[in-house]
Amino acid sequence: MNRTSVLRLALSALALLTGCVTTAGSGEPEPHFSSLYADYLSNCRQCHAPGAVGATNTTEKSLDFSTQATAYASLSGNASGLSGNQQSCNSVPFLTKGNPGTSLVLAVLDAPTRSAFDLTTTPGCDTNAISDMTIKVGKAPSAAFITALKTWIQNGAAND
Amino acid sequence: MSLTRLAAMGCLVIGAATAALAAEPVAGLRAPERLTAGSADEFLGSAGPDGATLFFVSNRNATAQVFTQAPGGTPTLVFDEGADTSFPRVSPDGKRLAYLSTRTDATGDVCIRTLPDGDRRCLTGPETAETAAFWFPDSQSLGVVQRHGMQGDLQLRRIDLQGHDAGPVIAETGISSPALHPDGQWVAWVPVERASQEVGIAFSMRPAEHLRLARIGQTGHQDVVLPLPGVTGFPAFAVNGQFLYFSQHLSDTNQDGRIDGHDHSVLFRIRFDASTAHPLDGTRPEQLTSAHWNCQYPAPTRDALLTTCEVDGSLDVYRLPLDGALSAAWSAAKLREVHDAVRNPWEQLLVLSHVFRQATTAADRMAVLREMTRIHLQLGELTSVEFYAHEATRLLAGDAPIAAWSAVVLEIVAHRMDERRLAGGTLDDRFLAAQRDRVRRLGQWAKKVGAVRDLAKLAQVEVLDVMGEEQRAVALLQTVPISQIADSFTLFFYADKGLYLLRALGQREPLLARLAELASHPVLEGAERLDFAERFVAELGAGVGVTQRQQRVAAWLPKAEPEGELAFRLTLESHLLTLNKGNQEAVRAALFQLYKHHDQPERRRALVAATARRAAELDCADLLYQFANTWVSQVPATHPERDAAVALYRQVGLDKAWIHRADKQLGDARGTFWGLTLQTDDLEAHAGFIEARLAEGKSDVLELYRNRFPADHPLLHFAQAWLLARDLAQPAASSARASALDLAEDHARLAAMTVSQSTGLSQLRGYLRHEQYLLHGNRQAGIEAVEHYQMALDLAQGRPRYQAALLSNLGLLQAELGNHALALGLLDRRQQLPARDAGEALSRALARARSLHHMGEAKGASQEAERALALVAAKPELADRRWLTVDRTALMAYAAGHAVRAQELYGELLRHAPPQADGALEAANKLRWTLMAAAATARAGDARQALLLLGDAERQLAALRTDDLATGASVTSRTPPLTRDDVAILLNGLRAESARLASEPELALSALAARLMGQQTAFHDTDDEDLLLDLAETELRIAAVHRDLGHTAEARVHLENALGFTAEYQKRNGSVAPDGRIALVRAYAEGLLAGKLGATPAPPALLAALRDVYAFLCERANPAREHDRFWIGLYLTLFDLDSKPPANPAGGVP
Repeated sequence: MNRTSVLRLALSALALLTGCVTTAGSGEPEPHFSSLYADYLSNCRQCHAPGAVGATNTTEKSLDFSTQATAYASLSGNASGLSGNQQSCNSVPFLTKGNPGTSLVLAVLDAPTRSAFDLTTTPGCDTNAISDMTIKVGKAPSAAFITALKTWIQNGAAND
Repeated sequence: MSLTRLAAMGCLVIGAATAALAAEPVAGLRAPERLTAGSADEFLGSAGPDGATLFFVSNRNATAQVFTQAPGGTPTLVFDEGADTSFPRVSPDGKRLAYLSTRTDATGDVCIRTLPDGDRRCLTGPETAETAAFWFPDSQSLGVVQRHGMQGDLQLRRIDLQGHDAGPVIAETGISSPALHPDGQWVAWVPVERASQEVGIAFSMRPAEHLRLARIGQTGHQDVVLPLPGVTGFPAFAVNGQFLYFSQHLSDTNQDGRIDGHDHSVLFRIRFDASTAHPLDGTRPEQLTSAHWNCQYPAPTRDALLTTCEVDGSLDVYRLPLDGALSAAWSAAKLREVHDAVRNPWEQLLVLSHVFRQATTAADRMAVLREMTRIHLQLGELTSVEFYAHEATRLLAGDAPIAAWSAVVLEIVAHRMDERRLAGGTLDDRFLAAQRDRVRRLGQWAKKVGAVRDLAKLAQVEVLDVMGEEQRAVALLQTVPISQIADSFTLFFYADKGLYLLRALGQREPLLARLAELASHPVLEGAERLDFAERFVAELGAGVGVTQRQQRVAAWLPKAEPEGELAFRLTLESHLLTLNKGNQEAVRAALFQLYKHHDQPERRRALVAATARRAAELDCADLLYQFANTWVSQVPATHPERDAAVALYRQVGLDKAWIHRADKQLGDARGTFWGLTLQTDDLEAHAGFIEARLAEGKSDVLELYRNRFPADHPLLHFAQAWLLARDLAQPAASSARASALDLAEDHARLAAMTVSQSTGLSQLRGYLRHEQYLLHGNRQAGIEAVEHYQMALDLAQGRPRYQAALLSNLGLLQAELGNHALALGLLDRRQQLPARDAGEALSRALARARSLHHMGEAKGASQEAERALALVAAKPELADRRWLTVDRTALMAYAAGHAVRAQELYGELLRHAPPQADGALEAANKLRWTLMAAAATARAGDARQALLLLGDAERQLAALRTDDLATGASVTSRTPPLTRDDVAILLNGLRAESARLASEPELALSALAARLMGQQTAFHDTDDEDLLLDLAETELRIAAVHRDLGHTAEARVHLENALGFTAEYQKRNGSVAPDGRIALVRAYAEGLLAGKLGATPAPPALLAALRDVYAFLCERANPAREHDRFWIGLYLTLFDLDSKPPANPAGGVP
C-alpha cells in the first residue's frame, strides 16, 4: 500500500467514525434520511400523522411522519386519499429510487421538479395537480436540503 | 351569565365568512410597513440617533404631543407640554430633543428638552413666530424659521442653545420646510411667496413650483425646477447626503381646483452631489411611493425611510426601504413583470415612472408617457395629464402625430377643467360658447387621418354630451368603429366616455356589443381584454337572477371568439352560475379542465379570483380552497404575483376554516386553523383553532401550545390569555373571576411586550379591560377597553370579520358607558357588515334599543326591541335569552306609549317566565314586572285591574327581604339599586294614579299621603335635593285631587307646600326653572285664573315664582319652552290687570 492509499484509507476511516460520508466527487456530505427527516420532513407530522391536529378530510391519507421510521415506511408507498384538483396524483409513488424527477415527495417541495413532473402512467399528475407543500409547512426548505433530498433519492433512497 | 360578555365572546369567534376576500395585497411592490397605530393621528415621525427609536407626534390625547416608540414596542409619551407640540427632532448627539411648542406662544416657539426626561428650555419668545427647526451637526445650534410680527417675512436663522444668533441670517425671505445637508454646508427649502402684497405671508402664501438650494455662508441661491407636475414640499437629505428626498403633490386629487397640501402626496428622491457647484444638475427624480398611500414628511435614517401616510383618513408613521416601493436594482424585465401584476392605477403609475427612467429610446419613453397620461386622465388628475401632454411634445419635438395627439388631449383637459369650474354644475352661456368653439376646433382634428381622428371624435362626443346634446353625441360615436381604432389610448378613452354615454342613455345592447368588441380587440393586451370581459360579464348579469344570467351567457358564448378572453370568461361564468353547496365537486372538475386548458397567467388568475369570490359567497368551503391552492403552487417564489397568491391562499384558508366551523365540521375547521398557524402568526387563526379544538370536546389546547412554544413565547401567552378569557363567560364566584381576569391580563400584557400592532391582541386586551369594567364597575378600565378596541379597529382595515366583532363590542361598551350617540353610530356601522351569530345580533339589537331609549327616541327603541324579540322567536338557539328580551321589549313598549303591548308582555312574563335559580332575583323581578304591569294596565284604561295588581305588588314587597332588591344589580350602573322604601313610594304613586282614574279620590289621597311621607323620610335620611322636586310633584298631585273634590282651601295649602319645596330647591342649587317648577307655577296660576281654587288673589310666593321663571325663559330662549313662556307671560299680565282669566286656557291643573 503506497503512501497515498494509506492516507485515503485513514481519511475514510475518519469519515466513517464521524459519520461524514461524501458523495463521490462532489465534496458534499452524502445525505441520509435521518438528517432529511430532522432538517425538514419532521415538520410534516403536524398534519400527516395519526390524530394530527392539523389533519383535515382532504389531507393525504397514507403518509405518517410521526417518526423517522413511519415516515420512511409511508414514503415508500403511493399517494392516496387526495381529492379535488390533486386527485390525479393518487397511486403515484412518493419515491422513485434513483429518479428524483418522478418522486412526488420532491415535487411537492421543489418548484422546478413540480413544473417538469411528467409520468406516463398517470399523466394527470402534473404541475397543475401537485400542491406546493412548503406553503403548508410555513417555511421553505433550504436549497441545501433540496439538493440533499435529490441526492438521497438519486442514490437509492435508503432508510439510513 | 352576562348578556354582554356572551355577545362579545361570540363575536370573537364567529364572523362573516363571506366578506373576507376584500383587499388584495400589493403585487410585487414593497408596501410601506406601518409603525404606529391607533384611532388618533400619528405623524411627523423621525428617528433618534440610533436610527431605530421612533419619535412622532400624536393627537390621541386631544392635543398634539410627542411620543417615542422602541422597535416593536408601544408608544410612550416623552413629556407633557400642556399644549400642542410638533416637529420633534433629536440632536445628532442624542442628548436633546428640539420641537415646536405653543404653550406660551400660539404662533410657535422652538424649545428643547434634555433627554430622556430632563429640563425644558425655549430658545425663542413671543415676539417671533417659529414654523420649523433643525439641528446643525454640532448639536450646539439649530436652524430656525421665524418671522417677526404679522407682516414679517419668513427668515432662516442659526441660533445657539441660549437662543442667541450663532451666525448670519441664512436666508431672508420666503422660507418653508428647510433641510440641512449632513455636511452642514447646503440647505434646501421650498420657497413661498406672498399671495397678496397687502397682507402678511402668515395669512396668504403660495409655494413656488421649484426647490431652492443655498450654500451656507455664501450669497445667492439656486432654483431647481423639477421635471414633475404639481407642488414640492418637505425636502430632507439622506443620512449619507447622496440623495434629497421630498414630497410632491402631483395633481389636484381632491378636485377642488388647486394643488395644495390637501391633495395626495407622493415621495421622491433625487441624487445630490454636494461636491459640485450645482448638486442637482443632470439628475432625474425617482418616485418612491404611490399616490394611493398619500405619504409625506420623508425622514430618511441610515437604513430606512420614515414617512407619514394616510390610510382611510387616519395618519400613521410608516417605514420603507430607502429606495422606496421598488428596488433601484430592478431590471427593466422585472419592472415589466411588476407592471403586469399591479392593478391599482396609482401603483401602475409608480411602476411606470420607473419604466420610464429605464427606457432607452424616445419611442419607448413615449409609449410609457402615453400610458401614464391615460391613467391620469381616467383618474381625473388633469394637471398631470396637462403636464405629460406637454412633455410628449418636448420628448418628440417636431413629431406631427404626437403634436396632434397632445393638442387633442389638451382640449379634453381644458374642457374638463371648464366643467369643474361650473358653479353647481349649471351650464351657462359662457361655458356653452367655449365648448362650441372647442367642438369646432376638435372637428378640424377629426377630419385628419390617423389615430388622432378617432380620439378627436370621441373628445367631441364627450363635450357634446356635457353640453346636453346626447343624440348628436351618440350619432358621432357611431362613426367611430372600435374595430378600426389602432391605439390603446383611444380605445380606453372610448371605454370611458363612449360606454358611459351608452349606459347613461340605457342603450344596453349596443353597450354589450361594444364591450364584447373591446374584450377581443387585438390592439389590447390579454390582461386588458380580460378586464373588459370581466366588465362584460358584470354588465350582462346586472339586475337579473341566476336563470336569466345563465340564458344570457349561453346566448353570448357562441358569438365570442372560441379561444379568446371573452369566451374564456363566459365559460367560467357559465360554470360558476351552476354552483351550489351540493355540486362543488362537479363544478370544480369543470373549472379544473378550464384552468388546465388556459395556461395564460392572467386567465388563471382571473379564474382563481372569480371562483374564490363566488365560493365564499355561497359558503362552498371545499371549492374555495382548491384553486387558491393550485394557483399558489404554481406561481414561482420570485414572481411579483407570489405575494398576492400567498395572501389569497391564506385569506381563503381562514374563510374555509370559518365556513367549516359554521357548518359544524369541527375537525376540518380545527385542522385548517392549525395549518394556518403554521404559516402565519395571525392571531385570528390561533383563536379559531382554540375555539374549534375546544368545540371538539378536547382539553389539550394548552398542552399543544406548551409543546410547540417555549414558556416565554408570546403565542403561548396569547393562548393562555384567550383560554382564561373565554372561561370568564362561565358562571363562577366573583373572586375567582377576578383572579382569572387578572391572570389573563398578565398573559396578554406579556404577549404584547413582543407582539406589537396586532389586531387580535388589541382585541383581546380590549375584551379583558371590558370585562374588568363589567366586573368591578371601574370606569377607567372601560375607557382603556375603548382605546384597545379602537386600536384593533384601526389595524383591522380590510378584515371585515375583525371589524364586525370590534364594532359590535365597541358599540356595546359605549352603550354601557352611557355614550349612547357613539354607541348608535358604531352599531349602525356594524349593521353594514354581514352577521352570522344570532346571539351577537341579539345583543346588538338590545343595545341599540337601549341607546335609542336613552337618546329620547322611544318609538325607535320600541321597534328595535320588537326586532330583537322576533329574532329570538326565529332562532331556537336564543331560547335561553327569550325572557330577558321580553322584559326589555315590554319596558321599551311602555316608554313608547304602547300600553296594551306592554301590558301583554308583562302579563306573559308574570304567567310564563320560568323559575330562576336565584330566589331573591326571581322575587325582585316578579315585583318589578307586577308594578310595570299595573302601570301599563292603568295606562291602557283598566284602572281597577291595575289596583288589583298593585295590591299583589304590595304583598310581594312585604315578603321581600331588604337586600333582595339589590340582587342582580349591575356594578356599572350609575344609579343605585332601589330600596324597599323607594318601591313603596313608586307603588303609592301608581296606586294614586290608578285610583284617580278609577274615580276613587279618597284612595288616591291616602296613597299620595303615604307617598309624601315616604319621600319626606327619604329626604330626611339622604338630604338629596332632587327629592325636593319629587315632594313638590306629590303635593301638586294631592292639590289636584282636592281641587277635583272641591276642597279649594286644602288644594291651595298643598300648592303652597309645593312652592315651598321648589323654592328650597332653587335656594340650594340655583336652578330657576326645572320642569317640575314650571309645571307647578303654571298649574297653580291656571287654577286661580279659572276660579277652581276659590276667588282669591294670587299669593306673593306664586307671583314671585312666576316672575322668576318668566325672566329665566325670556333670557334663555328655548323653542321647546316657548309655549310655557307665552302662557306664563299671559298669566302675569292677567294677574297684574286683575282681570278675569281667559276661558279654558291650554294646559290646566292635572
